[in-house]
Amino acid sequence: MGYANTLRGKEDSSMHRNGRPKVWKFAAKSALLCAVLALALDFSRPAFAYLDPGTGSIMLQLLLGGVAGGLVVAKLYWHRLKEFFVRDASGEDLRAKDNTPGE
Amino acid sequence: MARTFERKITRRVSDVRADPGSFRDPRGRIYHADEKVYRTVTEIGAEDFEFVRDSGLIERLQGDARIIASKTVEKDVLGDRAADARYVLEHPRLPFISYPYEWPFPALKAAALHHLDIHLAALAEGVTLSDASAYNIQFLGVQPVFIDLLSFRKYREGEMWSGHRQFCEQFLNPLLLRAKLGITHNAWYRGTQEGISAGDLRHILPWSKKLSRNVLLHVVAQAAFQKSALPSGDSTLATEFRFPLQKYQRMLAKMRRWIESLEPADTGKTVWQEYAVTHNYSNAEFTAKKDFVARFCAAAKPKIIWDLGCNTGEFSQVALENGSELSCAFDYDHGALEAAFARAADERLMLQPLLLDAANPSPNQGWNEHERKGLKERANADAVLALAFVHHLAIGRNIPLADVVEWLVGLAPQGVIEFVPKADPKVQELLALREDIFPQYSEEKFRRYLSSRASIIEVTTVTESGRKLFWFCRNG
Repeated sequence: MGYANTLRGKEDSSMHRNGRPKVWKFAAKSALLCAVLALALDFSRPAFAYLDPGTGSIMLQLLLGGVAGGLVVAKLYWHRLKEFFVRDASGEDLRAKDNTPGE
Repeated sequence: MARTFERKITRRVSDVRADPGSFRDPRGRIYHADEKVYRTVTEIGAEDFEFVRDSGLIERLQGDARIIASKTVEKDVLGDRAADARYVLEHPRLPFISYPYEWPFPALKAAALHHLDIHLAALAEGVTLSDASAYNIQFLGVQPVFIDLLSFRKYREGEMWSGHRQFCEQFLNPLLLRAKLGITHNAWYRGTQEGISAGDLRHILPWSKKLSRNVLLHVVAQAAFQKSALPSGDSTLATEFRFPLQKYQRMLAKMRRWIESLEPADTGKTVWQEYAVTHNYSNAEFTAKKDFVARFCAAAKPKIIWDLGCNTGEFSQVALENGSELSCAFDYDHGALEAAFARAADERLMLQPLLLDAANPSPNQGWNEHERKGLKERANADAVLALAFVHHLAIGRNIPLADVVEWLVGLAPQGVIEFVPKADPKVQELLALREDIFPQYSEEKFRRYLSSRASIIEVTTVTESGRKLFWFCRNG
């Protein structure tokens, strides 16, 4: 436990309060952004030193690149996404049990 | 004949100096020789250079003076130093090199918009920019000029904005610091030299300032993603993704619109911004000062003038209207510099407002302490103006009067320095809350210090309180 940060979670949901047009496309994008942001914020851990310093920018541009890019982000973060929901549903943190790399 | 040619080359080579700040890009390097600036293009950079050159983009941008002029010259002009070069280009020498930590907010903003405009113009021609360094922008007055021709390279279909993170750190985040929090970027920028990271900015932005799509994306999300490692380890998925050109262009255009909307949060007038209106000068005094500066400039004909304590740039404007070609106008008050920037833009003046705390000028710094030059190393003024300036250093900052005079005279071979006597209300304000520990601060001592280093050409009293302007010409 202990990774979830409720304050940060609130920030993500605030995306919907800023009075922008609620067209479907925007809503879909926002939802995707919020989900990914929630994961990114929730699982923020010290970065590995060898990481490309532009990782943040690359992930952001994947999101801005449309549905296809969003899917790449989702795929890259799929493991965490799964852990996030499974843990939430069962109240258990599966991270310790499942260290399989990739999907 | 052969011997003459050999000597000529030898002399040239001995004069060629590699620019100590130009080492990051293996595609080329800057050299200085014979008071000229050369750029080499190596084998690595040759293909992209040829593509960009043949696209016609460079010529078109040079036609609008948006990027620095260049011409291809013979390689032997650099002798052995051009051994690894496929091409050698010659650039005109800019009158003054400045750094983003010396720019006031409107200059950094103008540079950011210029960078984005150049990038958008390039993408329309199938060319892109390989980086987004603020140091690639210089100024002619308040007009930004892009100086790094090797940043241009062929756009590869589907590629991302590789300079996005750098753009955020070197342009966007420093602007947001002022626009969202009212904190000027300069001290922080001078410390890091690479700008402000999204991670740092995210920590100091309050929640209320994060409630916008742009801040969430470019600051909060970018910082969060940067901090979290790629979970699956399959980063090729990210690098293989094709970012549509249209989305790339839209990202740049949206960034441009956002930056255009940014204004300083601390909109209250600063002390010096209103100085020209509220200060205790009479019109007669102001006119007398203007006349003196005009007479000095008409006679001394300085091309480049450094106006120290420029305020909103009135006297720089007088200098420019009387024959000077460029004024580097320094002040430590951001409001004054912003007003000077607006004056230069409105009146189309070759006036560059720059931040300077004269008690702590920009030092040599960066790699090997030579990548970015200190102010003294860049001192190239033909004349210096220091009006109502000396007392701020000598009394406001406790710097011995003799040292202040020596520093000023060292900056330029001639100039005008105003001496404000201790009895003047402005000096009394400086002394109001403190003990007068300045027995050496007197006109007599000032004259003595100045005379020991320069000839005093003319002196004029401009106020009843005894303020005087000294026109000096440095000895030797």
